[in-house]
Amino acid sequence: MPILSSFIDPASEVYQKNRLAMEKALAEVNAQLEVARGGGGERYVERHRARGKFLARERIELLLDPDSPFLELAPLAAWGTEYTVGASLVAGIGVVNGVECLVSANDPTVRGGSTNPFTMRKSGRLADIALENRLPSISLVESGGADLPTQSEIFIPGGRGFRDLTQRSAAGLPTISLVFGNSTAGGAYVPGMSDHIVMIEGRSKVFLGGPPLVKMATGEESDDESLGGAEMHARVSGLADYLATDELDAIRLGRAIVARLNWHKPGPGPTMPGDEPLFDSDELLGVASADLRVPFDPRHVLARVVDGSSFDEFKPLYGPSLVTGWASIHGYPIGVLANHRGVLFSEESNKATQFIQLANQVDVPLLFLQNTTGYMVGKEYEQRGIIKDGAKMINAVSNSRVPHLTVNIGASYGAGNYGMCGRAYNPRFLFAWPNARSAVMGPTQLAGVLSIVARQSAEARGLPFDEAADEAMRATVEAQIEAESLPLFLTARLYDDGIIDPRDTRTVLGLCLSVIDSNPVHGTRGYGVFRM
Amino acid sequence: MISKLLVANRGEIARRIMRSAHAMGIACVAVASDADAGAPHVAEADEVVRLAGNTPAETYLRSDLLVAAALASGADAVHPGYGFLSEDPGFARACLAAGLIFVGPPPEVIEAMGSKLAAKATMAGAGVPVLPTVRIPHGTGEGEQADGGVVEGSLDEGEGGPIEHHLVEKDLIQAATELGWPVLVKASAGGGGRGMRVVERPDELAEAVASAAREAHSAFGDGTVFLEPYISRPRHVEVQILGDTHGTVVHLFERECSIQRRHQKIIEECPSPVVTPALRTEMCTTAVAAANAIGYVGAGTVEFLLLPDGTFAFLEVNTRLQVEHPVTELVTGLDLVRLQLLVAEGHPLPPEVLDPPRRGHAIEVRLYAEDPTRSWQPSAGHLQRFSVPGGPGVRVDSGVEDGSEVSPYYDPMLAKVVAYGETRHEAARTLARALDTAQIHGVTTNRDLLVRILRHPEFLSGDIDTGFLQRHDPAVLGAPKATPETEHLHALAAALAAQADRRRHATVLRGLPSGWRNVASQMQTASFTGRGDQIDVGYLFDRQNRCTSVTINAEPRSDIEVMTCDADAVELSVSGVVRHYLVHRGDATTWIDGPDGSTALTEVPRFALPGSTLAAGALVAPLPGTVVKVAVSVGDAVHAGDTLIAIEAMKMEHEVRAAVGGTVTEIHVAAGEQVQAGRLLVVLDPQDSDG
Repeated sequence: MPILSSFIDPASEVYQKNRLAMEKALAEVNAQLEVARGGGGERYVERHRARGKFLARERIELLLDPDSPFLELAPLAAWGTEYTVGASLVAGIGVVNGVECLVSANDPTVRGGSTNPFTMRKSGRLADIALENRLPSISLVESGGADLPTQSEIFIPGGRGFRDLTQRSAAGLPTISLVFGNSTAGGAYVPGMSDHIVMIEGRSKVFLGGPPLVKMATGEESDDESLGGAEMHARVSGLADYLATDELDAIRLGRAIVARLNWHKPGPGPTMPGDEPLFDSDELLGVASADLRVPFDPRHVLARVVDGSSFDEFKPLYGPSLVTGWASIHGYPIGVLANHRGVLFSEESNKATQFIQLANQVDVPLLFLQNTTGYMVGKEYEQRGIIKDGAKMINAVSNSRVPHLTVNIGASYGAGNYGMCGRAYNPRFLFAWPNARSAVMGPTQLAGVLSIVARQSAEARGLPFDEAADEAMRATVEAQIEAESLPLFLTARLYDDGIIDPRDTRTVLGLCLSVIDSNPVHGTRGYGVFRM
Repeated sequence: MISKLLVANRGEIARRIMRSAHAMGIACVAVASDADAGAPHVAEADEVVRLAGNTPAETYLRSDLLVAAALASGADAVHPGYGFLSEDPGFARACLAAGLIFVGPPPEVIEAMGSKLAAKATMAGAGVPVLPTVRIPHGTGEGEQADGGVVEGSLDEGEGGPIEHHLVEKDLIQAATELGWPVLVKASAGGGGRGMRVVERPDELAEAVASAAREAHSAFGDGTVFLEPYISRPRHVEVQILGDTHGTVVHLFERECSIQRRHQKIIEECPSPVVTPALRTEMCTTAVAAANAIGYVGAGTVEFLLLPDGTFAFLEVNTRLQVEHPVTELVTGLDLVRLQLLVAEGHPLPPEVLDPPRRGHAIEVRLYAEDPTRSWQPSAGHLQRFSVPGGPGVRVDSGVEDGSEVSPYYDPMLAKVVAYGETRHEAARTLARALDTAQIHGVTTNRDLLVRILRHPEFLSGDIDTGFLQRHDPAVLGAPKATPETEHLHALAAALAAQADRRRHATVLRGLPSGWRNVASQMQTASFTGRGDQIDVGYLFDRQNRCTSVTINAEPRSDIEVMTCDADAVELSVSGVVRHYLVHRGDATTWIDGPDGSTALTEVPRFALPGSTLAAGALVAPLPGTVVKVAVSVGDAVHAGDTLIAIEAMKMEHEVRAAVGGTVTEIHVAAGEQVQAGRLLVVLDPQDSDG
């Protein structure tokens, strides 16, 4: 098999510059991850511990098989908003008794683990992941329900969460709730809709209405235990299937439930030797250009990500601005589409369309490495039918049935974002490197377009053009667009599943491919009409 | 000619005998109790006859079954090995009566030497120096009514011939006083220290005599005991003799077996470091004279006490192959089992035996499954691994192998490890290292004690005597080599090996780095218990799957570098010194062997199964055995230290005592019941501090 040759000189000025920029971006992300790990802050963490409780991440760590990997998803959801980074929910994919599961844990140190609009979006995304990838889900529940001041944004769409749970169950995907504390009002339906429920003696409280609400509604005097205590649910209501003595015991029971799921992965499994790449993944920090306008060869990335650095390139001489070819990651075969020179021309679009069809013919998942400024504009290209060719590529991506993985390793602008399987095209997972940007177009271009349009409008009306105002407008717009195309901004809104360290790319993709393998891979054999 | 030999024994000696017999072209028949059905000696035999039951009394001590086994299998000879029926004249007679060759001396010789009292008299008559004796007539052992005794010969009065004093009960103390305190109570039929007591004070004498008699009766079926002066700091030196049926008796030099625990030899060597050529000649000549006096045939041993003043006194004659015969073999190059078989076939002693060579020095240790730090308590169980590195100059005669069961029914000796060197120091050093690097998993052993003795200046100087282990605390000598810090490092090695094993067997995501996190919040962890407090280990692998940081008990250990890590081997560099650890993972226990010692660690499970924890105040059997006494009843108030239950194992009584005062609330066993180690015996309700 052809081996990529990818020698990078770590001493070169370009590499050093790239690496410096990447490390800076990475440090910013890591600083925010540190904030996320801190949950609701020291005071609340200490109070939680003083109650003899484990933190959300500790619960997850105890649940997972020792030494197995865990991919935390959307850890920086709600960054930059009025809500705490992480959106009061810690979630990801991990292995429990040899079964890959979607694990989520309310963070009770963040406003009692209550659900805010970002929590809801994050849960929604997690539900999609579980359903699409056939993952059993385990909820480590301790939540005061909806964050009441934001109820208007949560109440009506939030009902989806309970529908998702039961629909997953209907699809044969086990749902397990381990209730560590309060799970009241709407929150009561998370365990309520689950297949398996574990409650903890003296800790779990699951009721629709607590004593004050009951008093208000019916005048009845009651207490927590009789309304929703674990013992009551285990002995009287039957809502609890298992009564645990403490948190550890609840986690033990959760693991035991998974062990008895009789779970099989119907996917084909890895079919290739999962050899490590021949090149040092550490050098990925210096591959991506510090300046987005400078293209870089994605083969340097592939040489540090794919098995054995082995890559069979498809149509290397045609449409060279897009690299396509076959490889494998941790033994799972993949087809790769990676931007090289940013711009997508007609040839690149046609090449991509054919390649996507080929992958569907052979049932191989696709990996999109985005670094695109979009489809080419200009008279010549319009006349040669760039819209038709771009449409074919978007058609192919949209109707492709093999699973897609997308990583934004640089730029993702314009319709290029669509053609290269952006969020709206439902890749199974989408991650961004810390240096990545994504928007309808680059900030300078967008500001420039606005400026030209304004200048034309002024000229048409015979008005003088205020150059100073235009300058100020351009700076403001550029700054706004730059801020909105930053990975932290996008990840906060669940436009990706997380920002990853470039050096983790192979591991993250390998994990995702294994997760995808929970389903058989079947490509589509028919496509929408291709506009020729 | 012997064509098929029944080996009426088990363990290492059965294998040893078969090795020589097979080399001579003789087929071998093994016998096996139920517990020994899968034992190595069975696997190595050509045929096997099973003996139903487990206890020696049901199996290896059943003369009738053994003779029947020989006849049924068509064997024409029987080798009794040592122990069991090897010195039972009745068994020898039964073999002869059945037309079988008995590999050993004639029954009359065995009989004559079987009674220590009679043997002493015979030897005194032949001019062999003996110690004075107070005879206590038979029957007194059953109670406290020691009604008399006889004093026979003495070193001092030997020349005047034996003198006898008949004693009545009250004279027993008087007679003992004449011998001089302390005195030694010995069983006439005894051996291996059973039925032997040192009595320091007159008021302890009656009870010592009674209990020695009881033990002797239980062990040998003969409760006859006698008194001897207790010699302080004697050395045990014995002479190997060999006689043929043509009247020739030779000696094969002496062995020194002074390192003993509870009167049982644990280290033996040839030659003795203190026996001069002149003394050697004198002792060996005396031994040959003694053998000639009784018409000795076959391999035997004349045991002497070598006194600090350089004189020696007859102890007894062992009419069989000795446990420690390999040291003689290593320095003479002879095969004693082969010679036994040749003699049994009626051949004259071959020429190489008549003037045997003697070269270099050999030392043997007896590797026991026992805990020297806990009163030599035997340790039965599943031997998960048994591997003593051989190599030049090292001989391992073992009765066990990987996976063997060390049963509570028999002697807990696992193996004899013997080393040869040109000098005594070389032999000791070679032997110590062989033991030190052995992997012995699943039972506690005296290995560390043996190693420390072999390296002890007093031992190396040759200044040894049978009191060595009274002077040097076995609890100190036998303490595990592994220090608490060793245990910490071993726990880390165990954790890393366990993680490697989990990663290797992961059904999904196997190729990913160990414990990989994109948002790391804590270390990978494991906890173990060893001899001391729980050890918490933390470790972290990087994205290249290298372990880059470790903590022990929450302390970051930057001095430790993990070099390699596999499921069965871990290399740790500690302050620049790389140590290779072998890690053997069992079901619950992990054994780690390294240059800094060996440990057995138990991983603390992350989750306790409900009901798996013992109630406070619950007492469990410390070892497998038979309950011989239940000293309390439900409702009894007991004080800390009170004996609650006694368990007999390996012919020794082990008492289970209350650790705290309280009330007995549950009793789960009855006298006579067989119990496994860990079996719940008694539950106490511990007393409240104000109660």
